[in-house]
Amino acid sequence: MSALILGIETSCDDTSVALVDRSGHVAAIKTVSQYEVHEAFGGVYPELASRAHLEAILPTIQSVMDEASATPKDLTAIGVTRGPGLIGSLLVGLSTAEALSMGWGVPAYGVNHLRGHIRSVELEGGQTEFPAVIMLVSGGHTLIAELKDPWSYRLLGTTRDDSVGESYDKVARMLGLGMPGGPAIDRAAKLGRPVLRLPRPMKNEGYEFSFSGLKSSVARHIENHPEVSLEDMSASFVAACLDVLVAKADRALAECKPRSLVIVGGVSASPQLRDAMAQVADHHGVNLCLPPVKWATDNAAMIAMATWDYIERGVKPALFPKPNLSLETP
Amino acid sequence: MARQVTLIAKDEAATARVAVALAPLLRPSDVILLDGSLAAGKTFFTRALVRGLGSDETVTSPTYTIANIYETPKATVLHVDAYRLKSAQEFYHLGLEDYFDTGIAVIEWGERIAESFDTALSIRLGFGEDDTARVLSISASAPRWDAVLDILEALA
Repeated sequence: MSALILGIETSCDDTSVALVDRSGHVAAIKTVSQYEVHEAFGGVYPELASRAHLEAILPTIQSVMDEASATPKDLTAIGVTRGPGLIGSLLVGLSTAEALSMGWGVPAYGVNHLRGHIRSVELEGGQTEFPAVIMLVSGGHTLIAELKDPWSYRLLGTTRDDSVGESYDKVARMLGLGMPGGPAIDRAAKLGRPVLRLPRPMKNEGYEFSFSGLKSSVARHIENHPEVSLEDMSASFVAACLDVLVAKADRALAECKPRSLVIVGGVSASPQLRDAMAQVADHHGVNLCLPPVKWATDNAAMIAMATWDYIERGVKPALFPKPNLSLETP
Repeated sequence: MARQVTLIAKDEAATARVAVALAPLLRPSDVILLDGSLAAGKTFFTRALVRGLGSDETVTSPTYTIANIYETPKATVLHVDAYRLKSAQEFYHLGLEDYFDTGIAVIEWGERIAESFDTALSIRLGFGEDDTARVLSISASAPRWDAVLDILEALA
């Protein structure tokens, strides 16, 4: 058995555990979703999230270890998300990792969830060519950054209010499409046409994002234009989001002149986004790196993969939660 | 018996000055309940307070994370958004007790869970004469805050 990292991810509403080797091979992974728990609330409900993590975490770890026929002796380290994320959810993963670390005599590293997303590209054979421009688009985050190498990040811009994934979820709720909102909107959008003129917030300014106003504008259109179909409404919203994301990517590629463009996070599963980014990358002659769809959303394999960076750098953040952890901090 | 001090801040800078004046008067295990409607400036006030405590970390809204944590030279600041919490009991279930013992807690929408913090300092941010002016109603009933309220009253 090769040396493995046990990755633990509990930053939001999924309990995920994985075993990953240095090459990015995923020996086992299990993710327990809480969609059913939170669906009735139309969003992640913090205390229910902590409790659901607490119930799921140990059986999930056991099942992953069993599946890979792994014992604590096969582990090089444990890597656990220390932030950013929901405080109560982070605490469940961190205290579990701390207990296992003591009990098994295996070192445990507190890992930055955002750095995990960025390393998701390397899972199962992918390669990032540096320097790279990365865009992280998910339910909790929307940011664009430059990476000179796998460790050195320069944040170019982030969102001033809602993340793009959050606005997908909220618009899906307004349109009665249910959770998860992203795939539902993408499906509806494919059948519609972008007939509404929605704002493109901050499209022409720097690298910051703002999606709160776009969401409000959709809400007003739903009220004032009941004649517009759900499909056309979705298509208009998706077109506006993509337009902004593509404009920022295009600007970063022109200014940073990287060798690759990396798109990660839950929203990178959107087929419309994938197509649009392929065109931008092609236009600039850079390599487009997208994680396979199954690694795009929150998962423990990416946290385990990122843990190798920490080990090789000799950086070992303590197992304290940091809900507001920034990209530039390990 | 609760005692209240009312301060008028004519603009954002004046609101920040109140937070900066309060910062050195705080000590570990203090709890501040911060209230006021949407856009009243609760996160803005916390940002000034954290800076006043000597940290240059970026303070962002804790709406999504429920609580953010900032390290300052004096104590760890726990910055909570209680809006999505239904009760104080639920709040304790999050596993934050340790931070209340050793840190300074600033709780936005704190009135929702005020029953568990009878020794807290309450700060309510209300709108003033124009968009940037604020009326700060600062109150407490615990003796811990007597001297603090005296100093803040002198700012008026």
